[in-house]
Amino acid sequence: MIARAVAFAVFVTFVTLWARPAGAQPDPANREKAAAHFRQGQAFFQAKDYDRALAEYQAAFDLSAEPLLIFNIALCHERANRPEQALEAFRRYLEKVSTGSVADEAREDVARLVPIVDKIVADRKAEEARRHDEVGRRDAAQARAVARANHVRLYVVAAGAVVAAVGATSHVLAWRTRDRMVNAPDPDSYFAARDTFKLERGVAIGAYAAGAVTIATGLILGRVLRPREGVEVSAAIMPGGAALTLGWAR
Amino acid sequence: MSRRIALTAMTAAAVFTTGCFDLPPYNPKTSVSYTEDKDGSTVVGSGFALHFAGTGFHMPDKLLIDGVDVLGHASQGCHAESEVGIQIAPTLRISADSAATPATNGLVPVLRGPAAVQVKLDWGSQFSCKDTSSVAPSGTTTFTVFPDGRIIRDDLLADPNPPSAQPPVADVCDCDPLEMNINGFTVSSYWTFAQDHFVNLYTPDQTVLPIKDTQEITSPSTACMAGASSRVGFAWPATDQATIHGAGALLAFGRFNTIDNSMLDTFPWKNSLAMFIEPGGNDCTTTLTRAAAYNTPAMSALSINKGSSIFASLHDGIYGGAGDNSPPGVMLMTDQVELTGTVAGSFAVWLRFPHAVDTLRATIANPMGAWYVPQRVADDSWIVWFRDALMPGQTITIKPN
Repeated sequence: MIARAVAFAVFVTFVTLWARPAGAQPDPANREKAAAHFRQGQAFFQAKDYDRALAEYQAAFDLSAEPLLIFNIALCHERANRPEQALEAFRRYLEKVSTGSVADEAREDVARLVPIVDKIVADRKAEEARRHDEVGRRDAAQARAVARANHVRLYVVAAGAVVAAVGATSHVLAWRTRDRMVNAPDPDSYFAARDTFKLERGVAIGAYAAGAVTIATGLILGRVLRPREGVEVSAAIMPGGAALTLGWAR
Repeated sequence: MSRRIALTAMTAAAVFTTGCFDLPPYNPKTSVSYTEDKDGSTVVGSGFALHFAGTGFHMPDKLLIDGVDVLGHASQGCHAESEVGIQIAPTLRISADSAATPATNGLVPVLRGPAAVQVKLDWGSQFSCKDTSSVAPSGTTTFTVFPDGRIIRDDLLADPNPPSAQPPVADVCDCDPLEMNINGFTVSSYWTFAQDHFVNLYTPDQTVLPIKDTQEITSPSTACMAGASSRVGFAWPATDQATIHGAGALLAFGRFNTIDNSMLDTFPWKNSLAMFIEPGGNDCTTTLTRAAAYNTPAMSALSINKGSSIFASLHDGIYGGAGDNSPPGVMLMTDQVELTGTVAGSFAVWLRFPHAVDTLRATIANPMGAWYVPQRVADDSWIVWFRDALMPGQTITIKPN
């Protein structure tokens, strides 16, 4: 049916172009160009190169304003599996030509394509709705992950702060014990205070170190656990010191 | 800016933390110390201070007991005894207030406390006698002072003159124009005290002070002077030619060597004398006990790690102290030291460990107060002074902490 329609369209087109009164006829040069584009479009159509055929029909239409070329364009869209554009073109043709066999055939095509296009539109809307839901779920999951990362960071940093506070307390105790050492009335008192001081000093240093490591760990975890964020941690130990670098990128 | 502030805060925190975390050394309340000032140097112990002169010979020129100078200061120059020094009559004495011109005059603080201070004086002068242009008296006097007022003085009079030099002749010395000592020299190591600061002199025969010039107590082994609230005791390890005699307003304690020959040719001459200063009180009983114990080997024998008994060095009064030929310090094979034996009074021991020691700790059954004072001399060399006597059956353990 399509093949017939095209052939018919070709025939009608040439008859129409030739039979118009002189005043209404397009410029002979344009007419020649339109005919050339039309022939080229036909060749592409026969070769099933519908996109290039469509381009040639469109060029011919731009030069001649012949409505039947719109019908041909609709056929190209249909053959190229673009039912929505085909439907739109058939309807555009019917707006210009409401009678005749081509118009009837165009109406049949419209009737045939409408449910197909409706289904496509419905499917598209359903897909968009699904994607929208998916984005929502992902955003919600990301928000939960951010909240979890914040909680982890808060708890770990707080734990580090508590450990550091233990170190500070032991530091203060060591400080007071140190005064007792300095003012010890006898060597036995001195050494008793010294033993206590060494213990308190060890606790203070250890707690400071553990607290610092814990706080740093909390901060790192806070970054690592956040979604879509890259964290880079590097450590280097060398003679005379050590370095720890932490970087992240959103 | 904020980063700079943060760095500054971190640095300050690190410095603060480091400063608070260092281990302060033991600061004994009972100790002896050495300080220098523009007038000389001072050794300060419990209730006393011994000052070494900054000008002239660096011999002691003051001994303060509870703030009162008790040394004797003679108005007479030349060879008469005054303050603390060496008498080489009939030529000029060696003392802080001597008119002699120092040819050699050195003061070296060998030990600076808190367990022991040791001051070493190297002195030398020119004889002022006939035919003495090429020879000079010289020597070394060492004072070792402990926290409880025990002072060990050691003298070594050397003869640095070439063997070919003509020994000095006693006739016609500047200090003896009448040539009264033409027949010999008198060499003496002495301390003098102002008699009016003391009341009694305890020797085997108690004497009420003052004593006159003509009075002399010969060859005492111990003695004690008691004032209103202070006591000074002496112990002579060698009693031959030990002397206590009046010298005007002064009282001299010493040991002399008379050369009954006009030629002074008996150098070297060695002498050791222990002195005990006890501020407060006027009872010489404990002072004499300390002095007697110092002279009695049976009352002052110490055993280290169950080895054979050793005795305090006559040079510095320290167990393991400087000997004639060996460096000071008892060489140890192990870290742990056990002291046993019998020592009647306070004592000090000099130890040399097989490796460096940061802190030394001593233990004893039922310790009472500040019963010992450790002193680091070098990384592996320590002196420990013990306040109390060591009784039979007691063991003191010393080891690095």
